[in-house]
Amino acid sequence: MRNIAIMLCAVLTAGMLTGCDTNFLPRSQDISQVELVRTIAVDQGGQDRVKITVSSGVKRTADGGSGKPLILEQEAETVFSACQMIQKNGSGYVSYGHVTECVVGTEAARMGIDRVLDYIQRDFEMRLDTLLFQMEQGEAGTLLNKTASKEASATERFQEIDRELPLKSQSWSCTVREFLVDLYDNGWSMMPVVKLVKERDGYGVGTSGMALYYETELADKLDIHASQGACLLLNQGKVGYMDVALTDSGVVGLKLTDTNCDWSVQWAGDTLTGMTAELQVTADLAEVSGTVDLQEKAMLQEIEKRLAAQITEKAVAALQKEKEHGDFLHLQREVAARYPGKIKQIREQWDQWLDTLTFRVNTQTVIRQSYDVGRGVEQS
Amino acid sequence: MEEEKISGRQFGILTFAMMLAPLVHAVPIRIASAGRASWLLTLPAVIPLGGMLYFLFRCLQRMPEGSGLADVYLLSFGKRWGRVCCILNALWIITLLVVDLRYYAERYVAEVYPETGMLLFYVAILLLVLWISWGSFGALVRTGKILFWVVTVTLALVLILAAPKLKLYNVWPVTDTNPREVGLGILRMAAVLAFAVPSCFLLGRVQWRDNKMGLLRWLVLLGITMLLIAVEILGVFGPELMARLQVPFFTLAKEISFQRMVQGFEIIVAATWVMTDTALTGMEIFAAGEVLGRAIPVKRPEYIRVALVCLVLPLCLLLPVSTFQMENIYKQYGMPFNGAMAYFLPCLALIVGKLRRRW
Repeated sequence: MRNIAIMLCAVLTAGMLTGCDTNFLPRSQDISQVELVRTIAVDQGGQDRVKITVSSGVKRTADGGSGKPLILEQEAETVFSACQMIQKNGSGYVSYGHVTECVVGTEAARMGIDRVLDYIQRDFEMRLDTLLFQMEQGEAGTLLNKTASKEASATERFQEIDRELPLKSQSWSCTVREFLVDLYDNGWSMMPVVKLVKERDGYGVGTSGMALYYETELADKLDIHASQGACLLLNQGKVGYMDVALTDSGVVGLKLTDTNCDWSVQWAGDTLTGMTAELQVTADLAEVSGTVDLQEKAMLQEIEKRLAAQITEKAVAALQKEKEHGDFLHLQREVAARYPGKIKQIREQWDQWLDTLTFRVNTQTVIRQSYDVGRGVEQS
Repeated sequence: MEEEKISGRQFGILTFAMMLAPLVHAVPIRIASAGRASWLLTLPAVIPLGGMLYFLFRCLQRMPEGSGLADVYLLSFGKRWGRVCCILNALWIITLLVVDLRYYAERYVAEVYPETGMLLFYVAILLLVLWISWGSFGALVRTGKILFWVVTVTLALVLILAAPKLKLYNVWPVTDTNPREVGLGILRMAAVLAFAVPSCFLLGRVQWRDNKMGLLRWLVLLGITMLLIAVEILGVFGPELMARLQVPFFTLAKEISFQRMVQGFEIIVAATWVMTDTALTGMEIFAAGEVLGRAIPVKRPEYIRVALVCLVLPLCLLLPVSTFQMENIYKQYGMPFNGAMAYFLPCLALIVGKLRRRW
């Protein structure tokens, strides 16, 4: 029996080596001809078609130098067809297994991004942890083309954006998975908005708040205030900064070291009447200009008060949008988690409650410390 | 050939390792419709299997040394109907083997060699099973220990690395569900756990020491593993997205990356999972050989096993090409058939045996 098994294995191996039936075996790809796509751009094409632009990262040459990223573009009825046309075009092979960002053009966002989301969900190469971005204006493909240089590609730009989002605290990184989880929860979802920024030696990418989506279609764009408010209310983008202007003595630069939002819920019998956002913010004093005496307790209290007012203003801006559009902050989920026994009632009456619901924001700020500039000077 | 006896622990390890193959398919797809409460269904789903095994073990304690589930059928229903039951069970196990191979081939090929036919996977794994089936059950059991550790460590790594992506609102509140779907989910999951029942035909080869505690330990481990897989997948994807994924566990493995730069762990996980497929197919072929051997006594049981393995490949090729069609067939016929063969028939045998005072 052992001999028969060995013979069978040998026959099978020999059969494979002849390559008599290529469909039977996995298709091999020459690694030197495989191009790894890192960023994919989705735009609205003509006649309900979709335009796909893909970009690789900066290419490394054999001598250690760098070359411009490869950018390819195709238009088709579906995202899949366009991607396939790009993949099978030319002698090389384009792999989508390493796509880390997907950027959507404004027109495509207005028409709905269900096709690209479905493609990413189903395709065996694409990943659900791909980051999503939306263009503030214009085509996403243009962004890929304009940001491509020998030093950087759109991929590097987006990775920088991903790192700086928490600092700016006006938006947060959103993956396809996170977008879909929110979307399937109540139809509302958000993604960060990016814009093309003219720089001295080319183009860069900047952020511009968050975009609101309802049922995969662009519903509105939150301005910077409301976006920052949404960040605070959803405990996203935790580390940020804020400048507080004082009445007569200049400006104070504050680094927000910790922000936390907790919700309390008010009921009148079985009716939800109010929700209060309890915001707690801890900040460090990073810069002071003008005549500010930090030894004065009243001055510190004044800074804290003004910081609280600014934060409250941002949270209120986000909550006003919540009232205007619908539950994009997913507060229903928050209430349901706190009151599991009332889940049926919450699901059925949420829309009705939202119209009459009173939102309150209670912000507490603490300035913990000032950076000791003098110590650094002494050490140097 | 003298049968090699194995310990209860070795048997538990092999059974646990093989159960991970159908479980990553079924958890949490078969329970997804229960929404945020679906992760909880993994615990009651173990109860039918636990109950059936408890009474089976009690019965086997009173039977002669070396008895298995096939002997329970022969003793309860008499020689003629007992043999019919054994043949029916052999057919069931072969059907399970064919369907399993199809699902595993799809899963492996989709992750590792996309756009390739499944024939290569069938041939490769059946050659391996052919080799296993020619050897002794003890050899498979000893291999099972290695497979168990490799697969358990891989599973633990996937769950630990994906844990930071878990969101509490995806698994809570558990009241956000439908009672009908909860009931159906438990039944569907119990039908999946029926995959553990064919191994009961091999209980005659197991030396039992503290069988009740051992059984309880393995059932608890199985329940906790299912629970952890379900919590993690549901917590990361949420109930709605999870229901849309084909094999959420492998999508979860796809989510793991290091600084978004090092990716592709799912290929390693898919390759590792072939080990559980090997354990399951090996166990099934031995169980089918054992139960058929009781119906048609032969001197060399390995010939029966080899013949069964040779039968599997053409049967695999006869299955519908469409995955959707396969899923419909499984839901329509496979699940009730599993339930009947794994729970109804053994329970009937135990009751009839008791009534006829056979133990």
